[in-house]
Formats: sequence, C-alpha cells, structure tokens
Amino acid sequence: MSADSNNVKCATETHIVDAQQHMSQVLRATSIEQIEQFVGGATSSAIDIDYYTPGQVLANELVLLTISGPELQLLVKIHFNYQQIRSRFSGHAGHGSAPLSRQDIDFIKELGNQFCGAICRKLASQDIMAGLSIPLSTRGYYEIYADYTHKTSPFIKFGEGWGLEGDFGTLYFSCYTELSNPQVIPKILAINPTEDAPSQDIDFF
Amino acid sequence: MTSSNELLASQKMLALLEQANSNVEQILDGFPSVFAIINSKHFVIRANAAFCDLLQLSMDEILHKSFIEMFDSENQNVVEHHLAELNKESNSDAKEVEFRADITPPHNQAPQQYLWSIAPLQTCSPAEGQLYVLVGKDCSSIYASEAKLSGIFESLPLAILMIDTDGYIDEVLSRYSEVLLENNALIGKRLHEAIDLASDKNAEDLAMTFKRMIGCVGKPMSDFAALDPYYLKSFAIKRRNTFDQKWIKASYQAIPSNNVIQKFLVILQDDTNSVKMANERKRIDDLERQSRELYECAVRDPLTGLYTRLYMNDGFNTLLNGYKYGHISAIELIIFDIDNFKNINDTHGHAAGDKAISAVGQVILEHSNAGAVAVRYGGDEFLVMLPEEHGQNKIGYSFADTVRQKVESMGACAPSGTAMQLTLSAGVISCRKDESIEALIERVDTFLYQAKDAGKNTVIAETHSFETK
Repeated sequence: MSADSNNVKCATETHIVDAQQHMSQVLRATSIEQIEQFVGGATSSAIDIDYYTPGQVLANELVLLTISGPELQLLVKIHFNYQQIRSRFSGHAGHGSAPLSRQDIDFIKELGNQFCGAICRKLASQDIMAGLSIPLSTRGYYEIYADYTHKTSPFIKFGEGWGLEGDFGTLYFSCYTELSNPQVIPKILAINPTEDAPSQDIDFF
Repeated sequence: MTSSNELLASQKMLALLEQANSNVEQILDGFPSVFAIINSKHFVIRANAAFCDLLQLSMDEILHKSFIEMFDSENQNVVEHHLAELNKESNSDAKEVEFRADITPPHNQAPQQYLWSIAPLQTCSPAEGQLYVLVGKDCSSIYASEAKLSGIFESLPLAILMIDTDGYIDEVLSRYSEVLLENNALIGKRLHEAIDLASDKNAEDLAMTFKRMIGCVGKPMSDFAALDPYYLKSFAIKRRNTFDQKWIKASYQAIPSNNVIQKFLVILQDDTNSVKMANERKRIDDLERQSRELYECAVRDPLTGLYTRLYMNDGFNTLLNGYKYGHISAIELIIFDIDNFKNINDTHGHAAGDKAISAVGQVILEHSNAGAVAVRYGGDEFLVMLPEEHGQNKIGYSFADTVRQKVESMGACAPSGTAMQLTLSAGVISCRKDESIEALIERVDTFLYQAKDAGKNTVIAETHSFETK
C-alpha cells in the first residue's frame, strides 16, 4: 500500500491512514464476495502482494474499469492468466500460448462489472456519488505504459494490489484511488465492507 | 443524442480500440522470431508464442521467468555482460546490442544458436524499472553453415591470414598457416617478420609488397586493382632443421567496407613442388638442347655441312615413307662423285682434297631444295634425295646438271695457291615405292659408272642421259 498525503490540512494523519485501510478492507471484502457469487461459492481469501507498486505487471491479461465521481476516482484492474480462465472459469482447456477467446475475456469483464458495481453501491450507500466505466481488456504488460500521475488534484491518493486465491488459482486485483475532497473520509469510514448495499441505478460512462 | 445512445457509442468505440489492440498483440504473438520484454530484474513480462514454443512453456509459465536463467552458465555470462553494457549506455543514448547466445530447450535437446538483439524500452511507469525489448533469431542453420565453411577453411592446405590496416596479422583463418609458415605465433606480427625468409631479396620484395598494399588503406578498391601483379610472385623461406628451402606463393585481396579498403586477406600456398618442377623442367630443357646440339654434331659433316651417313637412313626413310603414303608425288636420288679426286690428293695434298670436298658440298647445299636430304656418303661421294615440289616433274637431272656446271665453272684453289680444275660426275634415278635404300644406292651407282665411263663431268639419268664435255 502506498499513500501521498501532502497538503492535507483538514484531516489528521490518523484519519487518512484509517481511510486508506478502510477502503482497502472494502475493496478486498467486495472482491471476495463478488468472486464467490461469480464462480458459485468457491472459497477465496485475499492475500497481500509483497512490494506491490502501481504499474507492476502482475499477469498476462488485465481488465480495466474506472469508478469516477466528484469526490473520488478509482482505477480498478483485474489481472489474470490464461490457464486460470480456461480451466477454472470457462470450463475448457486450450493451448497455453494461444490467445484467449472473446468469451474468455468477456467472462472477466463481467466479473469486473460485478465488482465495480458492488463498490459503487457501497459508495452510494454513504452518499458518495460515482459512475462506472465499461470494462476495457488488454494485455497485462500494458501496465508499463500506465500513467499514475494524478489527474484530479487529489488531496490523497494511494494504490494497492491484492490477490484472491481459490480453486481457480490466483486472480490479482489492483486499485488506484484518488480522493478529491477531505469531506469524503468520514463517509468512507462509514461503509460496511462486508454488507452488500441495495441495488440502485448506477451511472455508466 | 440520449445518454443511452452515448453509452452505446462509447461501448462501440471501446470495442473497436480493444479489437485493434488485440490485432496488434496477435501480430507480436505470431512474430516468427522470439520476442519478449524483460524488466530491470530481467524477468519476462511479455513473451510471444515463438518464445513459449522454444522453451516449451505456456504464456503463464514464462511470465516472470528469469531471462538469464534460461541459458546455461556459460551463455548466462554472455547475456549478463551485454545487458550490463546496455544498462551503462541506457542513461544517455540507448543503443541496441546484438550478440550470440545459445539456448537449450528443455528435455535435453541440442542447444539452439540464437542471435539476440536487445534494446532499452522507454515507458511511463517506473514500477518495472528499466525495460528491454529483445528479439531472438534462430541462426542454427546459418551458424552450422558458418561452422562448416570455417571447418573447410581451417582444413585447407593454405595459409589464410587477415592483415590489418597497419600490416599486422590480426586473424589466422586456417590451422595450416602455422604449419606452412613454421611459426605458431603469427598474430600481431608483420608477415615478413614472422617468417624466416631465405634471402634478403625476398625480405625486401615482401616488405615492398606490404608497403604498397598498406598504401591502399582508406582508398577505393580501384587503387588496389591498379597495382601491377608484381606482388604475386613466390618467395622462399628457410625450413627449420633442414638446409632445404620452401617456396611460398602469395596472393593478396583487399577487403573493402563501402568500397573503401579496410583490411587484406592474404592466401599463401606451398609452391615448393611447382618451383621444383619448374627447375626440373628447365634442367630437362637444357639437357634436350645439349642433346640436340650433340646430335647435330653427329649427323652433320663438319667439312661440308651436309648430313653424315649416320643421318642418311633416317632422312631417306622419312622421305620414302612420305612417298609411300602419297604425301610426296615423286622422289629422285642423285649421286655425285668428284672426278679424278685421287689425283687431286696426290698432286696437291689432302688439304687440297678437303678443300675440294668442302667446295662441292657447299654447291650441293646451296642448290638443294628445302625438302632435300643431302648426305656426304663417303670420301668424295655425295647422295641427294630430292622430293619433287610444286608439281615440278623430273627435277633431279636439272638439279644434278646445275651442280655439275657450277662446280666446273668455279674451279678451286689449292692451299699452295695452285689452281685446280674441279669436275664431277652424277647419276640420277627415280625412286620406286617399297625399294630399299641399299637397292636405290646400288641402282643409282650404275648410272654414276655410266657417267664415268662416258668420260666424266657428265650426268646420266635412268630415263635419259645427257653428256657435257
């Protein structure tokens, strides 16, 4: 986990760290919850990635989504390898070096949609309004071209990566968060990480 | 446009971008050479299908695998060295490095010879550190051909040397070089210093050759081509442990880069046998010439310049065979005998007799045609075998009579100063095919006797006689 808390005058250091840690719990718990639903109740656990730095290449493929609102912006990525998708999720094996099919990619894109939709609902439960992008898939090594310089003049930004281990092997998630307004911290701290919020309309952009 | 339509348009645009990106990636995946991107720790973060196939790993398995550890320890050093060199340069002007490193696929397969090109890759994210893009090309077949060619080169019975711009040997391309030049430390030396030349003249020649060659460095190929072939001569070197010499033939070729001469290829060949053969041939030619001179001495009568009896059989048989096989249409045989020769000897002495014989011989020689064989048969007797020429028929009689008249008219002077009147008699016959030389001489002799009986200074031919007094 990494954070940049310069220019923060309206929140204490403790609040910032708390917000990061809580956001991390929300993200991880939501990822577990969604993948269990998605793959039909497989047991999963979140694991930290040692020495994670935003921009690291974690797997051969990735699906990218953004959650964006006036108070925050989240750049969410799901990093995955071929064999997991073929043998565990889509139920067919193929040649290890052959490109993935559209169906394989769509499968993870849908997982990304489910995950980000759940995050949006949890944010909305605390009146943090945010919209969700449609997922984009590309090769994992495109991380080397990722530009993590901030775009929204955030007062705090942090990135983290974690893995989910289960019957399917290991899927990696990463999220780069930018908070634009210190007032959002209490709202984040109020989110219940493990309780899925009621479904409501989500803006897609 | 409604927000729903905008969403659909965005989705469509994103799908197109995704597809374009996917197409590009598939091109890289299908790239026939090995392609990969490695990070600062030299772990693979992107590999194409050819790389996976080479190592028999899946895309998942090759991800984050150490590129360096794919090689055996010897080749690891090569790869690490080049990556370190590239890393030194990457802070300023990053350049591509190219090197050969063999890679051994799993399951004990033979090492594959790859030519690697590695270049730094500029990116946005520092998370993976300095990145490198690498392309590996399977050059096994090229290297196999090169090894085969090199093997052939090495085993050629030639010394093949590369000479640098200062005239120093910087590469020895055949094992035989050291054997031929009897020196196993050729590199770094000038050729004329590396070998023990047999003479100062050879050393000067070779030094001059190299001086002229080196003078062409940095100039266009035409300058080298314009050198006269004087530098192609052989030179002799001393053999070690013997008093013998070895002859070496040298040829030189300029090696240009962009048509500018940079180096020289020198090919040296053991020319000892050729030189020995040439010397032997010269000795044989000398012997042949001496032999011919001796033969000429033996077959030429020193007094008259006519052939002796030693040559008579050969000369006559040659003409008779030509006649027999139709190359000559007719041949006549003439016999001359100086009249009263015994009186000349008795009156004026043997020296006067020799002088008379010499004078008659000269007249016969002067009037014989090119194909005639004129022989001093013995004492004061002469035989001339005369082939007909240019369709002239029965020329023997006129030839004999011309000689008779010439001798009669010239007279001679004895050594004592006394005038001598010389005449001669002659018999002429036409030769018959399959008639032996002995039979011919016997037959022509009868006409000579007839001429003598007719009062001498006479020519009698077998078909007609003509008497002149």
